[in-house]
Amino acid sequence: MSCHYNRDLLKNYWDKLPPESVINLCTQHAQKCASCKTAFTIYQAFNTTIEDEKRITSNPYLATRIIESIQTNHRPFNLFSLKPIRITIAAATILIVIGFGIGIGQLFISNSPTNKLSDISYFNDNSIEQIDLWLTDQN
Amino acid sequence: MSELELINSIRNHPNQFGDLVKQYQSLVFRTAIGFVHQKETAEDITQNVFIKVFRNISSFKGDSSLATWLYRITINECISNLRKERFKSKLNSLSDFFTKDTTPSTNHPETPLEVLEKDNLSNAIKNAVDSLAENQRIAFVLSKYDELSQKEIAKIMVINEGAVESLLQRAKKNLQKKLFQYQP
Repeated sequence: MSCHYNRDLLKNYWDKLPPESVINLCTQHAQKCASCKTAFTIYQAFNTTIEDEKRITSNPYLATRIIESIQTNHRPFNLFSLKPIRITIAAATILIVIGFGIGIGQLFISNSPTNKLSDISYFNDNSIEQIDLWLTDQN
Repeated sequence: MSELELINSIRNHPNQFGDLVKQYQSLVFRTAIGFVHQKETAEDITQNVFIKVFRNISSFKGDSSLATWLYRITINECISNLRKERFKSKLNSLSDFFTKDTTPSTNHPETPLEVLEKDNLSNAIKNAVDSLAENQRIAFVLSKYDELSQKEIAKIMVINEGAVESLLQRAKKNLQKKLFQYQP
């Protein structure tokens, strides 16, 4: 078998393990050719490494660990699960924020032009010229 | 119990989430092992994946299969883990630069087997897989570790089958290049 043909056969290793007859041919050739032996070793190691990794199994208690982690740290948010002191702090904070907001709003309202005395209120009625006088003058 | 029945029952009774974990944990774990090669890290990733699934189970619409959804979450988790690790190793190499003696070594291994054996052949293979581009690596892991068809990989990666074929071919070429770079 030529080295070229041997390399072609070895390429099957990338897709899946070749049939035993092919492996035997490659093994026989590898015993004679140092360069092909290296290639054969690498191809075989490639498959062995992946197969070995696929055989690794997780810890048998992994599912329990996951469920426990979810139950302790990742429960859905529930207001009633909060402790009373936390609820008090949360309520106080909300009230302070609302009060602060109302306070700022009041400041704005007291300075707004609608609350100031209108210009019309300073209008002096007495200074208006009597329309009757003006009419008589015309006549 | 079908996938949708299982999900609906979990939505109504979250305590049944354990059934889903037991059913799919090996799928998630195997994919994670393909990316990280370490049992403990793969277990941590598996845990994070199921926590994400638990939080987002209400958003699962059933457009794709549950397995496809799980594969996507697992791949995202693995990639983000790898990016974190890469960032950490960059920081470490930066600190090593300031602390280590940087005189170059004069011992160069000569033959490919010497190089590979020195580094341990299986480690060299894992390193070669790790050096693949992200998309090639995803396609390679799903094809080799999970033994998925190109059609299934295409669904998971949201690309067409031709693109998957091309990614796998490029991955093989790059792996061959990496592993046989010293081959005469």
